[in-house]
Amino acid sequence: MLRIIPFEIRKLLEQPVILLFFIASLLLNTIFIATAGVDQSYVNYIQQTEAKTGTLISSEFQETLSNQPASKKQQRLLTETADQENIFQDYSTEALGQEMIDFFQIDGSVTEKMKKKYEKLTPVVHELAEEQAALEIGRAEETMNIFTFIKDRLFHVVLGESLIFALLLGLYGSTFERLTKTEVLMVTSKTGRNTQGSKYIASFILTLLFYGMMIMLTFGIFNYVHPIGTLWQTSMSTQFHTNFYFPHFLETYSLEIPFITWQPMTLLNYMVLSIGLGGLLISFCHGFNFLVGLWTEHFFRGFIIFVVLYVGFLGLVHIINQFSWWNIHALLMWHPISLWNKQSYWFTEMGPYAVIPWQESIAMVINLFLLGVGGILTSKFYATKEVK
Amino acid sequence: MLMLNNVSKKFQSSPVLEDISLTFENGVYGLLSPNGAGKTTLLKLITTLLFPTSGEILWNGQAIKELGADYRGILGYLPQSFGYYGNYSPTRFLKYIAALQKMNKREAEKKIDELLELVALSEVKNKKMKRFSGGMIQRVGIAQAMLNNPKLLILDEPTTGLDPKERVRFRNLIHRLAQDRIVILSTHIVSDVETIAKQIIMIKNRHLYCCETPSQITQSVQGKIFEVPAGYALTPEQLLLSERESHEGHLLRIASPVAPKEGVEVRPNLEDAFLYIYRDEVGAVAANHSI
Repeated sequence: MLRIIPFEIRKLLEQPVILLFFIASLLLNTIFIATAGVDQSYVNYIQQTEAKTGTLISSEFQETLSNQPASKKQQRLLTETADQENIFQDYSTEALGQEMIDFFQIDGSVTEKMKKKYEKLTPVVHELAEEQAALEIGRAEETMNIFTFIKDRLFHVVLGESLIFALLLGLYGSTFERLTKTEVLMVTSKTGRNTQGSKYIASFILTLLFYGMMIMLTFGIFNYVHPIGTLWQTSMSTQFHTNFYFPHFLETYSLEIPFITWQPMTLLNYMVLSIGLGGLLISFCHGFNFLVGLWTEHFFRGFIIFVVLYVGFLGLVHIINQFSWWNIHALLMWHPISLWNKQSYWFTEMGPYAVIPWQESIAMVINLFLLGVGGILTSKFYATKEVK
Repeated sequence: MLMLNNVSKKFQSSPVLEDISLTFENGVYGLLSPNGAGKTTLLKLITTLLFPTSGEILWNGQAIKELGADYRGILGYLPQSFGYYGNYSPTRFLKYIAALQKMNKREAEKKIDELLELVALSEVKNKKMKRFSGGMIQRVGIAQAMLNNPKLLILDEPTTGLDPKERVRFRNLIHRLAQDRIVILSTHIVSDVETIAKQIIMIKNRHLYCCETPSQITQSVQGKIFEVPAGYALTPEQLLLSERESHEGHLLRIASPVAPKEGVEVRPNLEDAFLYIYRDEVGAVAANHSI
């Protein structure tokens, strides 16, 4: 197997579309970064100022800031940090749960599950209160803009590109020999149908390599264009960063709540965890489509099946939401497509999109386990699959 | 020894092969049938690409399905439509096949050089195959089938695309190789196997029609092959086999159950026997062509 993998990797790498997709994705991300709309001079000002004032908003902070040379930026920072308090002190997660239930008009057994979930959030909020996470200055009101750009847009785009790459490589990896009519040579060789194992590993390595390189290059470019320095060490739960929930189909009003993760996290920790979970989602997408390729025996047929499943799932969620069938809705949120769609809420209480803490992570592990079961069944099917 | 015991194959509910029993020992076996008779299906069953609906295939007494990799390790196969990677050179392609065959790297490299020499591709061994002619590609296919020094060599329409010189060269090579291995060569071109096959296998109406030596098959039409002048009017029971020019003028070679008045009995060859045995199919093909 080890001897065949380099051949398979090289075979895939020689497909021009792979390099083109990589370059196109990187170019798109670079344009995205260049048009991010970050107020870099204000970000730099806070970076320099916090060396003198410290990173926590307090009366001392206000005093030191007031003594800094007067400027528009100083005035802006004074205004943005005035009257800020530790919002997690005496914060009621039960009330938050009820607010969520009322906002989304959740009913049935899901209501109880939601209440229990928000009860479990209480110790986290106490910890955040103790750490004074809400008072971390970050980059004041520019924090929201930067945090949202990094996790909801930039990472979302990289993840999306990597998922498309995983989809294509998964399908291509398992159907390549059929396209080149070399499948019979592979199947009648001593390695035989087991060659697909090497193909799986080869396409998986390339998929992870694409994801890893795209993350490194994209975030490298971001850091170069918009150096945010110590902001990476700022808590995700600073009061300058909030979580928004929108009722289904209506984005004209929203519910704004603090950004509460199940474990206090800095932006860096959050992104590292997100990259890790994203990697698992990509592994799932690659594996699933590799299996689809083995069953359908055809790249385009496999692709169409994936698109039909994806669109069908979104349609189903749409119908479920319209009828407010919360039990089914709660179940559908365990699906990998939901995990992708709700990426911006990962590791938080997730509002109506989760009924237990860390649901996205647990769901991912379960999905990978089910994929493994699917893999075993497929290998049994493929061992006796006829090549006509 | 390869043995097929009462092998049948159905695709969905339509039978393609029924109750085929054959035994193969070292030597060349020509699988000679018209297109669509089930030759490729039979070869695919032997190469584990397909599995019998009923019956069993044994290699030295053991079921090939159970032998798995051990069986495939002694197998060399050239499929009917040989697929390749256009961007690969013959050397690189054969190295990949050697890896699939789990061959020792050094031995593989030596063998690849030998085989490329044998199929006269040494000069282009590092050139991309996408620029190769059909005959050159077919020669790469032959080389890959022989790479693991197979005990069982299966060749499905191997001479397709080869020029007459290459054809003769290939025939001689196969004859030499068959001294210590089984070679099953599927073709609808009689001359490919006439002189080198130890036995000829014919499939008719999904069943095994015969598995006999070329002379035995030829013998079956002895006294039925005649040459008649060009103006001769064929009766419904007579079959036109071929036409030729001679110093006596244009002659028709026909098969006839009784000697025609102006006919001269000639010595039958394997092609006569083939055309006579498959006269219904040949007639149907001719009818289709005339439409």
